[in-house]
Amino acid sequence: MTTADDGKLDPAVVAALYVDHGEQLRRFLLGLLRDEQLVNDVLQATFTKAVQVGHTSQEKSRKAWLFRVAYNEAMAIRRRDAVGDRVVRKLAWTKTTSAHPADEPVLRFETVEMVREAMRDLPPEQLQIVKMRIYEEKTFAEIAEELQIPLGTALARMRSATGKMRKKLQRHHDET
Amino acid sequence: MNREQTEKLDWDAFRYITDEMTSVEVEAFEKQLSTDQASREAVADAVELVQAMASSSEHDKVSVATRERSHSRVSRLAWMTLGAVACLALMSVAQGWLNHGSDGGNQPQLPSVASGELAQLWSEARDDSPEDEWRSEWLAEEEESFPVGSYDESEDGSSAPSWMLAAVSSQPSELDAIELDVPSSGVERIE
Repeated sequence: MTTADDGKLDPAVVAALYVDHGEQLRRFLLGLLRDEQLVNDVLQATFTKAVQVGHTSQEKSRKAWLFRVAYNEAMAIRRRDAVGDRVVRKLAWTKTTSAHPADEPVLRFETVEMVREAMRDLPPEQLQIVKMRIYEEKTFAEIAEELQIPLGTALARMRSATGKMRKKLQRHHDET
Repeated sequence: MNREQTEKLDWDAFRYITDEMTSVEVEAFEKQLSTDQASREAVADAVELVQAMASSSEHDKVSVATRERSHSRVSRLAWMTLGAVACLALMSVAQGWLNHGSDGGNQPQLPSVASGELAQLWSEARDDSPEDEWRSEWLAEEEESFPVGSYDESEDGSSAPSWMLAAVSSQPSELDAIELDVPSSGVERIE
């Protein structure tokens, strides 16, 4: 049973949606908004909508529906708060903070370990680019200039490195 | 979506979240996000990857800091031990010099220090050390760091280290000679 007596989605269904997709949705919103507090606000608004009008969506496309609602909410907040004008160039937002309520999922330890393991397997020239971009927060243009390599080479090395790490993560997700 | 398209989408998502896109590219990508679920999930995956890389660096920094702190602790312990050994050695030499210089044994004498006693003092000093708490912590950290089997039990720190015993026993004849000179009224030799 997916609907309650009033025709809306059963709260248990909404809770299950949160368990299944909440973490991925949170990361998607973080990519859009770069702000944990705003992400929490949008996440809450999204699931409130799921309770109110989620029953109008098709069950098989409910995940995409959730993401679309979240996207629209996020863009509305960006327009309202002019978040887009405050361009976040630093990667500080990627670091997990205490803004997470205790009952919400954070970046999994296994994921970090998996990525660290993948980084160990990278060729030195690719690892160097990763460190300079992620740890030292240099732009690819700065990295290329510092290493005296073409910008395209720096980008290609990073792309190859992220591709390898992504595959490793994907394999891990598939196994678990 | 074929493999090439997936890889391009992953790369675009990475560039989007790391602000490596031009404003035109950002506009186009965000338009794509409004309709394409695969693109949204690619953004979520890119965030996960970058967060994991960033967290990995934080963890490494903590590990390095812990390691440096541990090494400085070991250094302190080593210097403290070396100082204690130097004091004991000086006492032995001074005692020997006093014994040689005395003519009737009327002068007060310091107890002689033999290798067995030195080993005991070493063990006691280690057991009574006020640094015990952090030393235990350090040992726990070290045990975690080293794989089982790489640990040499002959150097477990429960007895005097071999270099110290070697240093003490390097001049046995001189020590024996000093002890032979001790008059009967002198301090008892501790063995």
